[in-house]
Amino acid sequence: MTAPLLDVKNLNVTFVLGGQRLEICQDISFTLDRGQVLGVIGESGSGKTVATKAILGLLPDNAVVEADAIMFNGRDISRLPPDEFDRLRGSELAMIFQDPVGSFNPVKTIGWHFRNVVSRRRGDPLSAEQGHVEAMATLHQVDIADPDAVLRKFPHQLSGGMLQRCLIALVLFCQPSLIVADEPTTNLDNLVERQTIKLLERLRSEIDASFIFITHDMTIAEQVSDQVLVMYAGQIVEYGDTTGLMRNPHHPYTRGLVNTARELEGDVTVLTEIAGEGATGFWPADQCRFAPRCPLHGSECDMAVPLLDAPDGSAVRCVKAGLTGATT
Amino acid sequence: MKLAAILKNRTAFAGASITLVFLVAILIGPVLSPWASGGFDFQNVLKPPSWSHSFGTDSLGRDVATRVLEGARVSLAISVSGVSLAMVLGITTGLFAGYWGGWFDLFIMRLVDLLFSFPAFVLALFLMVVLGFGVVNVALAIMLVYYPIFARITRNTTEIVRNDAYVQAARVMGQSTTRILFREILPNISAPILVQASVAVAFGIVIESGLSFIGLGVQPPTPSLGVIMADGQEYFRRAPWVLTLTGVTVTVALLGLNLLGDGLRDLSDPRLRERVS
Amino acid sequence: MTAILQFSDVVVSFSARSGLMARLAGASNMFNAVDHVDLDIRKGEIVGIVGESGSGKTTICKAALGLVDLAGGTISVDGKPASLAKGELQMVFQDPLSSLNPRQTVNQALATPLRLHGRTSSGDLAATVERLLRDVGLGPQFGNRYPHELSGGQLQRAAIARALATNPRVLFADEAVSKLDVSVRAQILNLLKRLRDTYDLTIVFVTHDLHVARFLCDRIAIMYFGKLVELGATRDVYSNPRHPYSQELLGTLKQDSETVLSTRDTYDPARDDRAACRYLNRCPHVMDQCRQRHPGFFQTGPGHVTACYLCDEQQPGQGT
Repeated sequence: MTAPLLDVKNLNVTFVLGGQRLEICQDISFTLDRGQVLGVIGESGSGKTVATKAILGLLPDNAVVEADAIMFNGRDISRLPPDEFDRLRGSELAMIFQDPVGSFNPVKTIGWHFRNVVSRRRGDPLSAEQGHVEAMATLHQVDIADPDAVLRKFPHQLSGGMLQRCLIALVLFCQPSLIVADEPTTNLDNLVERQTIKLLERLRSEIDASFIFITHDMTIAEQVSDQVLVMYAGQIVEYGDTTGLMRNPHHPYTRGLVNTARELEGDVTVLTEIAGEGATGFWPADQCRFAPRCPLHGSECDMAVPLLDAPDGSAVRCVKAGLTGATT
Repeated sequence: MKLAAILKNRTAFAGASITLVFLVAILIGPVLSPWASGGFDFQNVLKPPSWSHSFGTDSLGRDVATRVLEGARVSLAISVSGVSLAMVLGITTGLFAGYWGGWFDLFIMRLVDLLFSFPAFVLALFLMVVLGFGVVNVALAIMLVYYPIFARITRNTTEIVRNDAYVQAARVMGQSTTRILFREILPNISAPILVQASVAVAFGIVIESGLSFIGLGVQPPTPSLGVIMADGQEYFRRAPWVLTLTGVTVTVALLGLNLLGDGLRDLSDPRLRERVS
Repeated sequence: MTAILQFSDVVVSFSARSGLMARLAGASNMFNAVDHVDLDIRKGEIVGIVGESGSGKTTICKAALGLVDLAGGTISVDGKPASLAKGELQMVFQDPLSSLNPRQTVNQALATPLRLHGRTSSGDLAATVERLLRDVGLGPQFGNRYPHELSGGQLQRAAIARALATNPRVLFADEAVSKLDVSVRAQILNLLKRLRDTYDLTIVFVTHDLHVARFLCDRIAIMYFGKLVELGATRDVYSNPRHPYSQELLGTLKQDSETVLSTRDTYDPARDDRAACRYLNRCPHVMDQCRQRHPGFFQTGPGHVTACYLCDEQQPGQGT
């Protein structure tokens, strides 16, 4: 069995604000094999964006990133010096952000952006002529009908959906091994979103890259990912194979999210609620973080709950999850 | 901007302390001073600083320290009055201009542009020539110089904030325009205005001093920092302390107010505070 | 059936460019964000106005609330022109944080409309505020908090409470749950349904989320670039969409990989013929008459109308 492309061991991220330490991510561990898609599900305050940015080295200076190891392609990138990390980012590691507009320089054409990242491509240096041809080909690959015209346009002249596809093309152009997509379709209209998801699904089979797909939408996660990581309050609460997890979620939070998604797809008059609301904060050490909202909460839960293995191969952070196989 | 935040920020704290000391000094100094205000003493003309006269005496034997404190009162009062008037007019016109847009906005902004095109001192001078000298007119001149900046700041921030949902909610609720401007919008745009106010008061003192120094502002015997400096300038070679120490007082006042303004600006700008990305 | 809110031939126009040059450019520069829309809202129902960006769904709400000017047509409540002074129309906004004044506590935010509409005397004020908070699921301790101290769901509840303070006949909700966490959406959606009953409300819910619209709304109105293209009971429209755009839009709900998505352009007011059918560019069934005039409504079922010539089997119907 080949080694995974990405192996994160015990990632912790803390922010230092005016003397106080605010823990954002705790004990994040997961692996990603080549060609696989990992869906990361979480809401605001879950730490999903911070965790992935930490892996890519994109956090500000007041962030303290600690990990046993972050193995990427056999190398531990958690201890990499900044200039080496810079070379890695853009060529082997890439990120697609939620807001495509902010990812482009508003006073430069799309073509300029492609020329700018040519140097990032691994190995072959391209001449301007070759670069242009390659850029056109990549734009064509993301279903853009008139690549030549688009290369000459400025970001504000393109719609949100087009711009997102250009961003995807730009990322593909650098032929990375790992692409992190952070809610890439949240800001897009329904039809455009659908198109973009289909595009990503198609690309997945065409190119040799692994994806980390961050979303809050269970339905999308189910569609695109092989494995799902559910985060809550900075911790992983469930981690497993997508089909199994969607059909039979173990953690009460996951179950709540899946239920809401199913109910909205179905036909109910009242939706099942998850009580309360998530919050970023200072978590007490000896308590399950989901306890205030959990319908199953009992005194057994008042401990620092570890990630436990379920018989179907997934991992759950819950002492009450149906580990015996029975769903509560 | 809360009090605790001001105390924590070093610049604001320094500025606030200096300004506070200054204010206390000019309020109670003349009261506590053993020297009568305006008391001539021809035996002790142009004496250098000593234990009895901390700043020395001037050409009429008056205690310079007492006179400086009294003068500072006058200068500050004039500056504060002028700036206050500028704020009232500037904020009101700025609010309506930013909210309504259209012709009113166009008109106000061109007026502001016109006033900005003159150097501050020239504008003040012009008004003194037209209106005549004296304390009230200096305040009016300061008002004219600072009206445009308050109008512009208010108008620009109002234009941004007027599209915020809570302003729209206020409209939907049926609140009158005046209520919306003063109760909903103004409290949310007050930070940059207050910062500007402290800076304006500081330079208002400079304008007043300048006008009075050349004889076109406050007229003697009313003391003001500029008047005292004019006096001190005449006798500079015999008694340099009068002009110098008065100048130092002006500098200290300016320093305090400017630091306070800088500190307030730092506090009100969210980007300068550390954030979780 | 009583129409509590009526949109009659409503037109809202914007200029494509802003500033002095635009004003001088005149009419050619303007386009209709809401283009001759007729819609009757019945008392006590929850109507969903569904569309994508540019559809005009938000604009038509803003027109009802006086936040944008009408270029044509009328909007009336109970037969009389809509009036903000009576507090009969209210709105809940998309971003809960910016919809409350950051410098006011929740109590102050709720007291303002109560006082403005003379609903209570000073003594009752506190009690009424507390009751409103309770009705939206917030305890009295939230009254003294500032917006930045509240979570998204709590803020939206406070915003709803504020809207209810004027005892509105119709409540508009513009993407009221879109910015909330998924786990909180269910709470707010259930709340809106409950309030419809307890406060005898009529709700107009604007959204692009088709699942939410189906759960919440009794009737659905689908808009496309300023035009109302289909209107009917939710169940009918979702199970049998008649307008090609509705079919395309509702097609996104199915997850099959066979549906081919058109990559053709959407409507562009600067380039396309404004008199023709808006969906011309993308429609697979274009006929000659579609290029001449945008279709009126045709009856496609009880209470179900569609603006498409394909549905013209009998006589054209009216939008009710």
